Amino acid sequence: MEMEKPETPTGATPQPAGGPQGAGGAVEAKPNGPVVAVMLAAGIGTLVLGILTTLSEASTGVHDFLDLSERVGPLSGKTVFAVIAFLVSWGGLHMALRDRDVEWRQATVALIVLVAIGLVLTFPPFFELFKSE
Amino acid sequence: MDLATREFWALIHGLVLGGGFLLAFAGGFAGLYSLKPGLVTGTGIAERTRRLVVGTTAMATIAWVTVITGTWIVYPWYREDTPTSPRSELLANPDTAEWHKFGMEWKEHVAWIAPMLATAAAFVVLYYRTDLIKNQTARKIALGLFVAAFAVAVIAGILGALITKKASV
Repeated sequence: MEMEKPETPTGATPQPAGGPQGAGGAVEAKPNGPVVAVMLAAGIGTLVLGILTTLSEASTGVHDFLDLSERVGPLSGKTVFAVIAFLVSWGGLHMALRDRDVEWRQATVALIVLVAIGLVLTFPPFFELFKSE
Repeated sequence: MDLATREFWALIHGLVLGGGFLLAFAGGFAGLYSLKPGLVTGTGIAERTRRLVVGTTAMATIAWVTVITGTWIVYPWYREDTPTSPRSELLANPDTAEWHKFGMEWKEHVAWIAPMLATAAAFVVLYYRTDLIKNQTARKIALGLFVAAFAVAVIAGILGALITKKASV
């Protein structure tokens, strides 16, 4: 993903990210990096949830590993690790992108792709294709 | 007229939190959708921003509480390894087995996507606050995240309601 200085943004936003768009007046532009960080983190959390859901179906070893709580079953591990992935990637991406501007279009496409793959991987007719006997 | 513990938590999970989620979404959606230059005055922007912060943060918080109570309190009752648990009853009948195999299997996973997307939407609003009206790209992204969070929650909510009608905890 191409990184840019705040002064030279590109992509769908024709003006400095966070800058004025039709409201008029000079406004100090906020870098969009922190927002892109949380967008990508949500996508990564969704993807991890999907991957673990399908892996749990495909492998009894993974299924048992994810069984953190006997009462909840493997859903406990899938959701705990997905939330950890969301929070850790949010923190890491926030630190990496906090002073930067990122193209909105690329960030949005990345989010859509991550969430779409995650959704497919959590869809029963798909993950049951990998069901282990 | 009494509510058993399980009925109480099913009510909290499905109706109270679900209702709060709908309310927060309606307020947040209306605020985000109409946050456009020319439609809001300077004073209005500040007031609108406060409501947006409350609405989006509330929706994200409610989404987290809903999936946590659902997974860790209500779901264990659903999947109990007894002949009378909802899961066992659904699977025992070929006519209702798909409600578990497809309905519950999808619901229990897809629901967890909603709080992550809702948190991202709330963060966009919290980050830009009154500047959000000047950055229409960020507003549209916040709106997209907000609607996507709602959409996956609706899938989970509808499946949950239908499954509860077939076999309640």
